Amino acid sequence: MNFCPVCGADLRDGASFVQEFWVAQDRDFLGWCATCTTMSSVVLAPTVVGHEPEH
Amino acid sequence: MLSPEKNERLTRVGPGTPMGDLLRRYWWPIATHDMATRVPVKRRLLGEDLVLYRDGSGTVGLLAEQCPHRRAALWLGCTERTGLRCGYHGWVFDADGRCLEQPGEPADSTFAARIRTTAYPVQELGGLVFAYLGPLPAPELPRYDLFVWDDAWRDIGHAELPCNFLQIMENSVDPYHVEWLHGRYGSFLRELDGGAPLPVVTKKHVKVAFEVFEHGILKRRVLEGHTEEDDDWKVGHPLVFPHMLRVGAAGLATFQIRVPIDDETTWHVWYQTYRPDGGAPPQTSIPTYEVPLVDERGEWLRDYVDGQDIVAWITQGRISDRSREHLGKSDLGVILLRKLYSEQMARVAAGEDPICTFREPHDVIDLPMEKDKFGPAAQFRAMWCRESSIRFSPIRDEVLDLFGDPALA
Ligand code: FES
Ligand SMILES: [Fe+2]
Ligand SMILES: [Zn+2]
Repeated sequence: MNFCPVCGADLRDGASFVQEFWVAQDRDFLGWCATCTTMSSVVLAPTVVGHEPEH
Repeated sequence: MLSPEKNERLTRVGPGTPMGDLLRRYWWPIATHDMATRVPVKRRLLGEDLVLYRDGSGTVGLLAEQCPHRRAALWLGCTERTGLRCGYHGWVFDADGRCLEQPGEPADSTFAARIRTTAYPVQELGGLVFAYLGPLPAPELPRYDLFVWDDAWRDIGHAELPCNFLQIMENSVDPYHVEWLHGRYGSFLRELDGGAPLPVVTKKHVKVAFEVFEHGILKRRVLEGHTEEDDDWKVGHPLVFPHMLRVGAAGLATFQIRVPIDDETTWHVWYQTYRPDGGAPPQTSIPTYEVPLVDERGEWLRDYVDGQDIVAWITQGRISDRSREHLGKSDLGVILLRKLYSEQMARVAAGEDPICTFREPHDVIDLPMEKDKFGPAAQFRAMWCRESSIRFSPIRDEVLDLFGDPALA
């Protein structure tokens, strides 16, 4: 995760914050953009999991 | 994992570093009340070497360690009626850093007027001496409730820990460790000794939540067998930004204060209050004590809850290498805290006050904390007196007596 998903600023600017963590197969990133102050999360997911209501 | 640059940014506390600039916006305990005496002592805070003293008029001063004359240490000095006299050639400095005397210079010399040494503001509150190393004007010293209650007893434990402050702060937003470090590992040690597990800390976490609020991060949890109606969830307890954890229940409340001495060392202060229903009678003075880290064989003490925490922090390394860790979803509290520090560093760089800066005079700042936690009050107090730093308090027995609890076996 190198860029802010909201304003596009470079998160490698020194002041912004990016932290990677893992959830099952997913690589998750929590970002905080020093330019627009948005907190965001990005998930690199090998599969997209939905759900099906009971029927 | 975290990049090495970000790790460095979050952990370096010296002058001119982004974290150092942020932390310099706050008042820090630099000593317990009984360390500031007529005999000057060396203290170190945020990577700066300092000397603390109380002069003959009762004024507490905090000066840079080295004398501006020829750089001898000012703890090699004597306190006068006003100020501190360097032991080497007798120059005298007051608490504002002014040079009052240069006995070796000609009587008509005005040289002293051109000499100033680094001096930082200090204030005493609740048995601690607080110092402010940041840009002036200094904000108000926050009068958090535990420091100002007039109907509580107190004691202050402290220890110097060989690790960076951040890994200690991160522990305060890591609720799952309670189940494992204290619940499983702690019980494992007890099993080896033929003892029974500690009851409450073994309970499973059903749900945890972290919320950034005006005083820092509020931590809530639901343990197995409890509900969202319990104080643990409804009220929670706070990490007070940037340096404290507030814990306790049943008339016991503690601030764990993490004071960065430098990048690799932290002064840990356990500021305890004891306040039975209806209040405590006046206390003549606040006892202080050192919390031991090792047993008589030099082994890290870990047969009690606070000892287990300390050993976990220390074994992460002097400065934990976060580029080699593997965080999961259970670490979201830790991630949120790192993000909060990053955000506040950016605020300071932009010339703004970070959160928990108080510019208005105030009487007291009340913080939220659970009242009922961990079952019956007397049982909780007995456990806390055994499992927290209170086990080393010189007034432990009097405290139990204050609550009308039985003495510990
Ligand atoms: S399981 Fe968390 S540090 Fe080892
Ligand atoms: Fe702990
Ligand atoms: Zn942005």
